[in-house]
Amino acid sequence: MGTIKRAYLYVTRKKGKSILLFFILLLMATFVLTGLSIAKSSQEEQRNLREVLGGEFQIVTDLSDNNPYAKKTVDSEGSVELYTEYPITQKVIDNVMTIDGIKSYNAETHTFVSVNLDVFPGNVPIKAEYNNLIYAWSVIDTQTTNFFQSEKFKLVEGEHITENKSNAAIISNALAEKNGLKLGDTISIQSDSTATAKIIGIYEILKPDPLYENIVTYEKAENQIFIDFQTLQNLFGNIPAGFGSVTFDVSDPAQLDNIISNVKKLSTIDWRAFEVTTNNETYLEAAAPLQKVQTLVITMIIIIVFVSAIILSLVLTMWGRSRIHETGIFLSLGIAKVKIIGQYLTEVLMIAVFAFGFSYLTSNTVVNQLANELLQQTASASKEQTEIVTQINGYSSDGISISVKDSSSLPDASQQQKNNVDVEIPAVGTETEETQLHTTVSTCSILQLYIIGIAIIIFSVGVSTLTIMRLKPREILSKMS
Amino acid sequence: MSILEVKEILYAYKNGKSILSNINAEFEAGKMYAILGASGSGKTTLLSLIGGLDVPKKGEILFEQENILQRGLEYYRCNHVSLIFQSYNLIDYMTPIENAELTAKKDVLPILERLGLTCEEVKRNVMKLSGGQQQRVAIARALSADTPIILADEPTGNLDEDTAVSIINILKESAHKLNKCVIVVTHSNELAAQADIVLKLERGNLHTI
Repeated sequence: MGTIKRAYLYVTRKKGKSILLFFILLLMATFVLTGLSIAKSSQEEQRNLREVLGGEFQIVTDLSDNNPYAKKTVDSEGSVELYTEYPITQKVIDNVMTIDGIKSYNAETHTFVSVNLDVFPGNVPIKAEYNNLIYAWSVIDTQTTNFFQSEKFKLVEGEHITENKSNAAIISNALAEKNGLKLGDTISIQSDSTATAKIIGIYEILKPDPLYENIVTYEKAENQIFIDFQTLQNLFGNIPAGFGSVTFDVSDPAQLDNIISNVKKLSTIDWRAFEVTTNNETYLEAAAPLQKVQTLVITMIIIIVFVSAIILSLVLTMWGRSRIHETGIFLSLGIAKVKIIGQYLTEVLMIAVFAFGFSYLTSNTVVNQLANELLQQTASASKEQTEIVTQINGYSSDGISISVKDSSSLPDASQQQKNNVDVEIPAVGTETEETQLHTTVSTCSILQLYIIGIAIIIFSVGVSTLTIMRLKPREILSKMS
Repeated sequence: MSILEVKEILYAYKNGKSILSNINAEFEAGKMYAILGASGSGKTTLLSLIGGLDVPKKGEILFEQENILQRGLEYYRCNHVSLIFQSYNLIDYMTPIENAELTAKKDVLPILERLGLTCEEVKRNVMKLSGGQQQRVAIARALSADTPIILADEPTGNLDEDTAVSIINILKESAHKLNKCVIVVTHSNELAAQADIVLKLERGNLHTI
């Protein structure tokens, strides 16, 4: 008779023990599976959070004395002009973009220019020389600037300036109307040198400047013009043109430190000329409660596994003593010790298959309640941190608002970054709505349960049969008699 | 020619007390042997050594001229020897058929029927059978294992007289008709009288009567 058949006969004939073992294994499996599911959900939520919130770092030109390329000029009237001979160029950006984990970038700079246009005057008196000066924004892609991302401006005619455009400009519809310009017309722009640019796009102002706000000419929304990088270089003449700052978006804010570390290792860039600043605080603060839940759950799983192994070992050892007689008979019949242990192992595994399967139902009923109970407990501890998040929101006054919402309704990450208006993050401990961990038992968790469960069973059966298997058959037979 | 040979066997308990000293014996197939001896004389110990359940301190046991340790005791117990105990030693959650099938090398049902168990009885739990029926199941298990040696330790010790006679006859038949080497350990002179050869164990020594 084979090992499996002997095991099957034992399990089916010793119904009381089998049912008791089923419930022990079910309890164990329910705890383990619940823990695994919560840990997985917490991981998922953190991943979603990372995708939605993202992270960014900025490379800014250092104009302090630390930068050996920084230059300072003072004109006859005492005006100081600071510039660098090693600016952030497209080459620098391309080098940085070779690092893994960086999703996109947004480079921009603005400079005072005068144009051959009739501009809208501001309502703040300034020096006469600034009366006709306006800001020219040089960007890689106008679509990614804050003006268009925040929907303060909207392109109504033509196209955006993109990386491959040259001698191109985008102006407001108000400025175009005032000067009788249309798409395809050319404007003359002057700074250190003069450059010409063709109007390839016209924008409409969706959020005008406040009516009674004091505003200078160059800050008026109607006067903002956008030019490509080549045009900017033409305006600078021999001085190398570059961006004032570049913001790099990373897909996973948790990897931000690693990414920056790799960026700083780039030998092709002289880092004495730049400063690198990071921003992933929003993610870190928002993810804190979930991180705590995960740590708590992993600790819980480890404890459950140990306790389960001990309990199961004790139960099987106890039952093993009552099976000395049976073991002795098998040994006297010439059945190998390995096959006897195999039978005992198979018996537990047979019951475990059903118990683990059934734990899918029991875990599903408790997992959500337990997950949110844990989250609530960590929430109170994280309330202070949540307030910090809100304060961060306060600093982010450039159109970003943070609202608390159920994490399950988090919008698609790409869409979110595209709009960049309302970033909805899960947070806890607020008075509006509470974050909920929507936890379900996944196939992956069940698979993990089977692996952990089988390991516990093998350990417990091994421990429980250790004493018996060290005895000689005659010793066992004399014990049983 | 002997199928089993015991050569200069010495056995002592852990406390140093010697129980068997310089035991020599030869056993042939087709014969039934009875080993007589008083309680505590070492009959069961000798049977355990012959059955491969323990190892002697000195000496060797040869099966067909080969030391039984050569291929391992598990192999020896599985293929060459079957044991029948006074307390039957059946698996309590199995039926007679299943018990007999544990080490069976041939169909067990004809053997069980030949030993007097009905079709209904062979499917019943062994614990629901009488002592005599249980011992028949134990013998059926030994016969179905189809080993050349059958060892029986007080096989009729717990049975009434009629059943005991019946069991003795089965063992005799197994030796004479099935060409088995049957070695029975007993303190019953009646049982010993049925054996072809009677050996007596006294003060650690074995001699033929």
